[in-house]
Amino acid sequence: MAVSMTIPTPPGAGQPVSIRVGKVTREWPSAAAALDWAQSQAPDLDTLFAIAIRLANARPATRGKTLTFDPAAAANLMVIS
Amino acid sequence: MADFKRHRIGQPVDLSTGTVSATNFTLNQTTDKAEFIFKSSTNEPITRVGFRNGTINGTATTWKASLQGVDATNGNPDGTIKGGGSPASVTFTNAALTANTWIWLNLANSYTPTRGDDLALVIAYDSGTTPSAGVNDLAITVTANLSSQTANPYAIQNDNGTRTKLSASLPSFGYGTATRAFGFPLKASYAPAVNSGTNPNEVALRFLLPAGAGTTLTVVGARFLATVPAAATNSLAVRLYSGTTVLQEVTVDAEIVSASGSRWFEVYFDEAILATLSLGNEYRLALAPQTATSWNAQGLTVGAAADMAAYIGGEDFYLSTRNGGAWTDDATTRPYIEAIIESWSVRKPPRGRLGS
Repeated sequence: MAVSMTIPTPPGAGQPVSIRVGKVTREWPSAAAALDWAQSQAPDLDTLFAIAIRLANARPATRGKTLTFDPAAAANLMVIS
Repeated sequence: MADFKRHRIGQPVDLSTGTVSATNFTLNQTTDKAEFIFKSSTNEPITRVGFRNGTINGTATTWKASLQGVDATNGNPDGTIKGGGSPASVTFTNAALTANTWIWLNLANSYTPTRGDDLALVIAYDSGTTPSAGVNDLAITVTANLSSQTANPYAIQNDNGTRTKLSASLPSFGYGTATRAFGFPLKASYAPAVNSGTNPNEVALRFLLPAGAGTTLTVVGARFLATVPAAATNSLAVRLYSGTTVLQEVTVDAEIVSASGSRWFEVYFDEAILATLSLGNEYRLALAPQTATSWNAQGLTVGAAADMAAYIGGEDFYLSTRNGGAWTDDATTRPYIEAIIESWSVRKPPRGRLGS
């Protein structure tokens, strides 16, 4: 079973940003705030490793899968396949 | 004056982190629940409970908010509503709510805890139309990035019987007596871009310490949470005010930092002799960017000024802003600014007065 998260097109300046995974939605008051939070969470590769470990632990179906970030994609900027 | 050991005052919660951002859990099944586990900080009757909600769809579903006990074996709600035949609960529909804001609901019956009791606030389906995603559902804000990792209190996402305990941040919930709010009531984040050209161009923590707690104090520095700009040579003035008179001031810049972004910043005033402040008087600790590049202030906003009583410092600590001239106060907002206390004094009563 694949797990996917769709990142929406960034909104206009000052507009809220939300990302949903299942029943859980995380919201930030603006794109700048969301980016600021993300940068504070991922200053280096350690956090990417932590994401991969925690995802594999929480979602066994993702083990062995490839996590792809593609900012150039029109949709589905992050896909596990 | 006595050495006050550099205690800090002003931060609404310990370990405040960056911009308040909501994590919402959507109730769209009859067995979904948003649960908040906490230890009562009062032994007065709890008459109301509160929560923040995100999106709402439909009004045909009736929900219930209730106070329950906590199962000591697993830290989950025990499923028993407090109060027995006079249940400490309240039913409501989405018609009573507004998206993305805070609400207080009066319990049908109050409940009197013992201070320190383990309690649970549970929000769940009660009756009426079965919840369904996008048609009749309710998103509850379970955490809001108020703090770093927390063990207790905490929120639980109960997804159709499968519970996930959330430890990343303090939960967003409230309970209250008739006269005082507790928990972490939260309406919205406060994160304006402030620079020398904006209006306001200064944001401050307005603070007043009760006169009965002492006589005088001195402030040696400040800590504040702001979005440090990336560009170099952007200076920020940190000022201690009495009214609009600057008592102390120091200027810092964005070059001597670890990184840009939302960060805690600690500064110290360089005056050789610190101003003597009087308890019972109001003062302001302000951030004033000196260039056109913004230092975003950070803080939180509650639904009503009385809700600030739930936070450290209570209702005497709140936001003031100005663009020169007089200060404009906002008692529903608390900026993440702290005063570092150098010294504190308590005047001794004069000798010879007995029995008065």
